[in-house]
Amino acid sequence: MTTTTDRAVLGVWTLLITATVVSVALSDNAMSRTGTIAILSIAFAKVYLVGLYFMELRDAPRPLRYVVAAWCIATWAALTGIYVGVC
Amino acid sequence: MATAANAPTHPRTAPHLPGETGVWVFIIGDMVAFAVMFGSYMYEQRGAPLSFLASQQALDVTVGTINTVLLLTGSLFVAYGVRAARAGTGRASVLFGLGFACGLGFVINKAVEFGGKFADGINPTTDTFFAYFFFMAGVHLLHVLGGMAVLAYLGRVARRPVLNGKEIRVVENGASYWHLVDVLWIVLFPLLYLVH
Repeated sequence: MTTTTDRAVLGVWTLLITATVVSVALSDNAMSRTGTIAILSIAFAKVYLVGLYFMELRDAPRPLRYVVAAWCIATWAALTGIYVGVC
Repeated sequence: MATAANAPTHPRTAPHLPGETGVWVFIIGDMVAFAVMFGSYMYEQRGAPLSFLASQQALDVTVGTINTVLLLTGSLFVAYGVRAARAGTGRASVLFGLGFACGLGFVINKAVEFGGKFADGINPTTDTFFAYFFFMAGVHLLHVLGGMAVLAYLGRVARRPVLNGKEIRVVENGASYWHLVDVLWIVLFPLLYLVH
């Protein structure tokens, strides 16, 4: 039913926790533009990983995977665009 | 020409939708609704970055980080629970219970955080940041509570070690919803606590 091993799922969890710690470390009160873009990028990469490995989109019909990927890219682009002032 | 020797050792199975189409329509719809809220928040923040920063400093990043770890770990247990339900190992119910416990930890942590803010005289009318904070985190909290009810139900469904196809579908539906709760928090946490 799924091509993902238990070990891969645990590996993804470890990566997600690590990414969370990195995001917190990147955050400071200096309102750094680079830091904010990095934090937002990490967040949406985490969402897609949860989609692929926890929600099992790796094995789902492609259109559903594409819809979730499109949501990640569009929402990331909109938030980043608003933050930097191009939207 | 394909031969047995160069065939993939782990051929992919046929695509499988985890849960029913209707659940996924709800999940994607909810994600789009939250995306609109995220954009609206970011737009307001751009207009008053110093005011937002001052209010964000009243938040404890550690509380938000712990809640992130709780939801990610809850999602791990639930992902394993789905796999256990399919494999008929008899452990699915326990794994859904562990996912529920992570959700409970999140709710307690959030209640303490909200309670602390109210005790300090901070509420949704304090300023624009806290209006968004209480609204977005509050709507998300309702999702967590709904997800815990779903996990409690899945724990009952998965009590028998071998589930039929319909029951597996129910498990997949509920698990997909629980992961949605995780997904929304993964974006909310940096927006509310980390992005200035």
